[in-house]
Amino acid sequence: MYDYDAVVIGAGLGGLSAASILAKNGLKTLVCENTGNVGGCCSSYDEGGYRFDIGASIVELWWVIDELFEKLGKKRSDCIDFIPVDPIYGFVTADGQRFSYPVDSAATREVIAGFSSEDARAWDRFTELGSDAINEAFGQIMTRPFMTFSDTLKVTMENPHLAKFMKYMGLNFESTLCSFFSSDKVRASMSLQSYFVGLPPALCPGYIAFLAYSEHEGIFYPRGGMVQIPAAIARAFEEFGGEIKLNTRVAKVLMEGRRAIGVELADGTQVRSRMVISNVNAKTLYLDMIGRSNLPSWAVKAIESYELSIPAPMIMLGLDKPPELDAHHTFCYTTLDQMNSIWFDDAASGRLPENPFMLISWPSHADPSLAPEGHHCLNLVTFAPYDLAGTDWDTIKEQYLEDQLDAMERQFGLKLRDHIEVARLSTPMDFERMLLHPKGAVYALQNDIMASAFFRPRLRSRAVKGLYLTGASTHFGGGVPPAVGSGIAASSLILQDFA
Amino acid sequence: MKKARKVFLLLAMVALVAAYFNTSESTRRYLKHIGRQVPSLPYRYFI
Repeated sequence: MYDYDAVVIGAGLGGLSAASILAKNGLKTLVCENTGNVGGCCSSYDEGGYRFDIGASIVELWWVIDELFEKLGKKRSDCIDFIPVDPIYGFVTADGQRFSYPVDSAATREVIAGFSSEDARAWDRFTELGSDAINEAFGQIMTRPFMTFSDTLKVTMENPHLAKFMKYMGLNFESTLCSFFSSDKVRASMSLQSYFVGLPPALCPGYIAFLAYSEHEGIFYPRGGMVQIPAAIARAFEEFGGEIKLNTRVAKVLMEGRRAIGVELADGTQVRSRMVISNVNAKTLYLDMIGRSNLPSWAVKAIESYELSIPAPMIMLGLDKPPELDAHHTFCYTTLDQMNSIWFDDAASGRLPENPFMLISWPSHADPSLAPEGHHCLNLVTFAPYDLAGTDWDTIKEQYLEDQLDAMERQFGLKLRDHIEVARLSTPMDFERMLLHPKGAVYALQNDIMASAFFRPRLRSRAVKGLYLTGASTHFGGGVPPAVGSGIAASSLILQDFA
Repeated sequence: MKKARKVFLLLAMVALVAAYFNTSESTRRYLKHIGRQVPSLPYRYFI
């Protein structure tokens, strides 16, 4: 009656992680992927001799990935080679100042002391709390189902360290940073992480601020590009008998009453399964693939109430020489106010930021094999609204690329134009078409305090029986470790339900 | 007793409003943003 035990929509990290654990446990599992490659936002593509990452650019909290491979009976280090990256960030400010934060937190303290001795002392308190946040509190709940008040209560009882961070759940990211640091340059240097959950520092929950510390536990780049992580999981999945169909778009979830019984592909093929696991945005899943008419009214209200994170247009550049940068990541910024202004002033009125901030990733710095000898590849991540006043992203695509290169020169003195061999822009509309992110929201639903933990879509749907969710729309949100963690957590529920 | 309770509630509300306007613009934006979502929480909890 069923073709498969489980059909997974999307070969992102969450979907692949869940699928591989299920396959390892003997479930006949199929993964349907819309694009020609695995990984979703954590993938790479080749062009002109360069390998470019399409989204994720680094791995932190690596033990979540190690945990997945352990569950698959493998050692992560046998499957993926993680290259340590140091320094964590280089910084270029609009007034021409350049500095960097090394992985070693004592060395970072010295850099901060150059701005303010008071802030250097505050860094000690920040790292102490940050270490608790990452090692004892949040880092330990990333692979656990977190769906109800009782889950929360249970986790809090087991993990008293979480109580220390209650205060920062009521504060925003900006206030949290301000409660530690007084120098605007130091505050701004640590505020980019709020955009990693798709929100400006004023709207992002305070506990996310400790992400700035998590990188000091060590960050890594997978040799061969970010795609090596999903590729290694996919290999394990296929080894356990799992099947992946690339370039296969799921059009809808087949329903029998309120139960998911499989999927219908874009070519009309129907695949029946005991359960359906989604790795697409929860809005796309519930509103487009399942449809309002198949959902109870409360579920429609819930899913419509979520707001989307800000899109991150990305520029990929192949250069014929090394860029004049100091680190794997370079954060080009002006002030913390500017980072809020992009959301409250520019995005709110459908304007492209006049003075953008940007994150530059330089993967060939860690792994020279990604570009021809002596050449380098860069990714420029910017943040801008999906809805533009009087135009759209397809229309302004070429101009936006030129404008960003101009901004790099004008604002931050980074001249790359004469050395570009390959240049490509992925707009929010490209992300929408390719990865099915509504409005190009690569970080999925906004991850504020009202859309976190048990207020975020559950890993096991209550609206549709036999439906499970993974990926950035679920607890713990976007990013490589949370996506993998969601897959681990979802698979544990599935194995429990279908034992 | 009933009157005292009303006065207490009124004072609490005045204190809350005063506290809101005494916070930074950043905090006000945050509170507004999360406050706007409160009516959706009963639905979100079950999805």
